[in-house]
Amino acid sequence: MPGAEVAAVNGERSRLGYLVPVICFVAFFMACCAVCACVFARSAAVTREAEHLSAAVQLCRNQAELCRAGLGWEEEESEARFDGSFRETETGSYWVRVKRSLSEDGLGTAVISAGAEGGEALCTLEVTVYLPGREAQYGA
Amino acid sequence: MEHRRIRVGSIAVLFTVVVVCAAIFAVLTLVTAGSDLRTARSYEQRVEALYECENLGERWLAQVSGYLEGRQELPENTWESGGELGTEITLGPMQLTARVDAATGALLEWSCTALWEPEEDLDLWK
Repeated sequence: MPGAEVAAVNGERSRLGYLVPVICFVAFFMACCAVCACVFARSAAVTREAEHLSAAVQLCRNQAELCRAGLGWEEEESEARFDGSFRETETGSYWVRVKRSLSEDGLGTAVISAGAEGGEALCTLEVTVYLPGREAQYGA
Repeated sequence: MEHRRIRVGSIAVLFTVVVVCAAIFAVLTLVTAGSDLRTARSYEQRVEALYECENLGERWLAQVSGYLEGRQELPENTWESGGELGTEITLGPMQLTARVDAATGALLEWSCTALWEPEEDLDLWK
């Protein structure tokens, strides 16, 4: 019957007419959420980088002050690991390496580098300390 | 002729609000993270400048000790007055002032500060 067929086609068209904008809107919403998620992930990465850099600088500074206090000059090279609270541990997430040299005029030079576990040095400091009376145990 | 209207409904309004809020929070988070990174890099530069200046001071100290022992000449940029030897070393934003007793070689002053110029535009004490 032609009237029934027209009614069935009109019913199908109204269902499609309702679903298509909803599907488009949901797809647009998911795309926006994906973009926001990427931005949040990028922000987390940048924050982590800033945290590592700040920690490396502070660890270098701590070690530099120890060197200026005259400590640790018995070893030519040393390496230590620290956790996020700057406490020395064996399994810390940050590493600090110090290379020391003493010259005959009493000047000690320490090159201090620090970085996150498994990564390159994020901060490098060179510290010169006048250490009178301390003999040159290793070359400058 | 029939004019089809696209009906969005209340759920679309809700979705729009959620997307706008999420976008604003994402932008704020990114801006904050960038600011944290800039602060960390600025701190690194300040620390490097501080220790470069202090290293020059330590070298001056070694040269002054050599001068007091008669092994070296008086280092440059050194003044001698009232039984004291002193210097003022300026390197970038940092300035180091040091004084040593000429008789004993004891350190009398060691001050490393950052140079800054106060802003005169704001009159905050009116």
